[in-house]
Amino acid sequence: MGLLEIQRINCFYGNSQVLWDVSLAVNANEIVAVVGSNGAGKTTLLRAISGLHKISGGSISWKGRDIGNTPPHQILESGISQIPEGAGIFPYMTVLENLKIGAYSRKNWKNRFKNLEKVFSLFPELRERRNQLAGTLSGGERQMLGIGKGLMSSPEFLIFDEPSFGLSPKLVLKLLDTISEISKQGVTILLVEQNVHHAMSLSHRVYVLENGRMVKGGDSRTLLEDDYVRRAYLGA
Amino acid sequence: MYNLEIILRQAFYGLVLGSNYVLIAAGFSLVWGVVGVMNIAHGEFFMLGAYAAYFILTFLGWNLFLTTIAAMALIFLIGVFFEKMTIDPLRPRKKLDYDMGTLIMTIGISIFLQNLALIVFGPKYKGVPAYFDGMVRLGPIIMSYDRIAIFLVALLLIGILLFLIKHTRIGLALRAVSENPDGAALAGIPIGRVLYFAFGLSASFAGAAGVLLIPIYNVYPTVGGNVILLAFSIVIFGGLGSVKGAIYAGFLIGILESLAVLFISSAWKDVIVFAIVILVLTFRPRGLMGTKEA
Amino acid sequence: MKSFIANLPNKRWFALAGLLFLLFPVIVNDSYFHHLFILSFIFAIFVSSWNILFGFMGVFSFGHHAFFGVGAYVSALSVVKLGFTPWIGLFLGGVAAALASLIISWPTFRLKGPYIAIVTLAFAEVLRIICSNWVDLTRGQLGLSVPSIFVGAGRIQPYYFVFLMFAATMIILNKMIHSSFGLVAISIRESQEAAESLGISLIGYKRLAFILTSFIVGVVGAFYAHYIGILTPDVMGSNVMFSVLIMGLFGGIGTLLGPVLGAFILTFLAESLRGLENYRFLIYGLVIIFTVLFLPRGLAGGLGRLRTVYRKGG
Repeated sequence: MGLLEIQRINCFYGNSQVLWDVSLAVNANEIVAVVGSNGAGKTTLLRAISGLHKISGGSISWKGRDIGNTPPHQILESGISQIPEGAGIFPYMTVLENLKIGAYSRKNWKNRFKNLEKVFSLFPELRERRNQLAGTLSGGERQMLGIGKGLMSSPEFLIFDEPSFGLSPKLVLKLLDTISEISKQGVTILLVEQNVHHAMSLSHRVYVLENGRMVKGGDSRTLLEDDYVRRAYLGA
Repeated sequence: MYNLEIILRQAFYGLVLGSNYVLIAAGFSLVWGVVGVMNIAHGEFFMLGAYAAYFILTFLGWNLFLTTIAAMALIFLIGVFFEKMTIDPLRPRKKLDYDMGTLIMTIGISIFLQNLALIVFGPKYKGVPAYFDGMVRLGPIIMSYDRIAIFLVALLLIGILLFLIKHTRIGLALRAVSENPDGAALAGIPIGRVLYFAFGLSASFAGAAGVLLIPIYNVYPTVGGNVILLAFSIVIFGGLGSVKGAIYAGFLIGILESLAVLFISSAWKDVIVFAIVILVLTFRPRGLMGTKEA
Repeated sequence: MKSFIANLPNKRWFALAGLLFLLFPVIVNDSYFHHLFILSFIFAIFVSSWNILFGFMGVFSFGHHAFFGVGAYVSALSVVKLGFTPWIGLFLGGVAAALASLIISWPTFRLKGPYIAIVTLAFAEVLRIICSNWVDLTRGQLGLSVPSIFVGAGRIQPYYFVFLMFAATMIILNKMIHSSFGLVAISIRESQEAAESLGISLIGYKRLAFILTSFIVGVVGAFYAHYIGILTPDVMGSNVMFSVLIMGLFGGIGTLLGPVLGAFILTFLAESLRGLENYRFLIYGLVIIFTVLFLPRGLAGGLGRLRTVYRKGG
């Protein structure tokens, strides 16, 4: 039984359907990636997990408990944290304030200074800039801030939506290292990426989402060899 | 004709008014930023606060502080009630429907409350005597204790609001929801509860202004109409979404208004205010200090 | 019965309705009812025009009552002070309203949603206060006496005239909605960014919408002035706008039938509630609240859905 189990969910935008019968499972301590082109429905899937999007039909369970259509703050409190596209930060607030918000819920608020220290040791640049307005940070720094904010709630499960978007190649490598490091500390990771190489190099397993349907899923190394995947996504 | 003393006295009076305008405008701006609603019924919270003060003062004889606190608590609850019953249900709708729906909804609430007040309280103006008697001389001007007290209480409330927004956990949540609602939700902030609080807070501050200004202005069922116009002008001047902007603009407009009454007849006062609003929005769609694009 | 309703094409409904309206004064002799129908037609024209801007294009114009009032006053004054005939007055009223709309539409092109509401409302208030204070010209709250368009008293002539205006307006608006203008309008409402990316000049369409709808509203406002016979600045008061809003909302914005339904139903409702003066507005407030909560598409929207259900046989 996976830590996070998604069984045949459907999602709509108004009257148009964007996800059909999508299923996915993530086991403890894994890094799982979901790849697919733009508009495939990846972000909708992630939003559904975090309670930002309604699911019609199917189920999402976390540690055996059904969490479909639960309010987002309750999902965060059960241990699932997400770093959305664009890092989900607040541009007119300082770095410090951004991080503190990550620890908003009552039980995390008590530990906020301890978690702050952990985040600062992972990202020393944030400590330097802690009184700077988040809107003045560079792209790479914002991503770091977003990840830091996501970590402030001591999550068991961390979701990344296109974390390498807009980053320079050097920063992307640093990012992948960071995600790997976080995984080593015991956090289970679900990652959505447009860049298939990165996704596959980092993750244990990969799912392929196309036009709202899950078309393939399996071991990353195996899929790298798969003909279909190579033609569609790796330009082979 | 116009000597320094009269001008200074009007200017101080402008500060007194301005401090209350700030309370009203800050509340309006708060709801606009956090809940995303342009609350046309905001003036009605002022009206309810003033009526609450009228009844408390007339029948219970409490002092200024107790009356203010009691009225604020009451209006806070009324604000939360309206948010929960009428705005919250609209949240799932898509943006255009939400904007249209909430705007029209608050118009409906405004019409409803004004006429409810008309039926329950009657059309006649109701007033109360000054909170404090007596005057004091400060330098070249003579001012009433009453107005000084009103000014100080308003300043205190503004200070409390600023402290709340900048230095408390709930203030952090308010700012977060205002800047990035999804980011706030993902951080574990219970959006629904924050919205209730924002609305209640906004209403209670408008109500406080009602309590403070009733000795000067008296209350009648449609007073909210004038108040909402004022709130618009200040908030647009200072920029929607900016509480700081609302503060500068509130004082500025308070002073401008009281000086203008000296030099221009009050019949045309509204035209000038409206004209300025239209001009500002035409040439600076963001208001003077706004963070949200018009 | 279900299939009967579903299979009646629109044209026959309208022809039937048109016939009924034409015969109405012959069948019903009560002058009071004629009056109610005339008022309903006036508002039907007003709300339908406003609906093009608000319901179809998504422009939050909350100052349309300004054009109504401008049309009324310009027509009245041109007849009373300048000696024109009321027919010319009607035309001048429409033109003046269109000019006024040119002035106020310009700031709205750069603003979004609720801000347009503020600007248009402020503009209308400015005009109202000017009318109210410029007593020498307009007699302000005392009221301006306006001569009737038609010779002789009686409501039959006004009835047929306003019905003609109504029919003409409906035909014009219907043509507009089913043309490329209509498509652009709806795309502006749904997503301004998407519409812009198609390279069409949105401003041109918005301006056209403003000019056309304000002209129509100006003419009908002028008609109102000559019909009622006495004119006060309240004709440009926000109460008028709120009535238009409720009628459109309740009837169903974004449809052609909605505003007409709303205008008739609410005019009759207002009359029947006339005795309960203050409660009337209280009920208006409640109508707005309940309509937004439970009937966001208004009556016509609901009926539309009903017809679709019938068509599908289910």
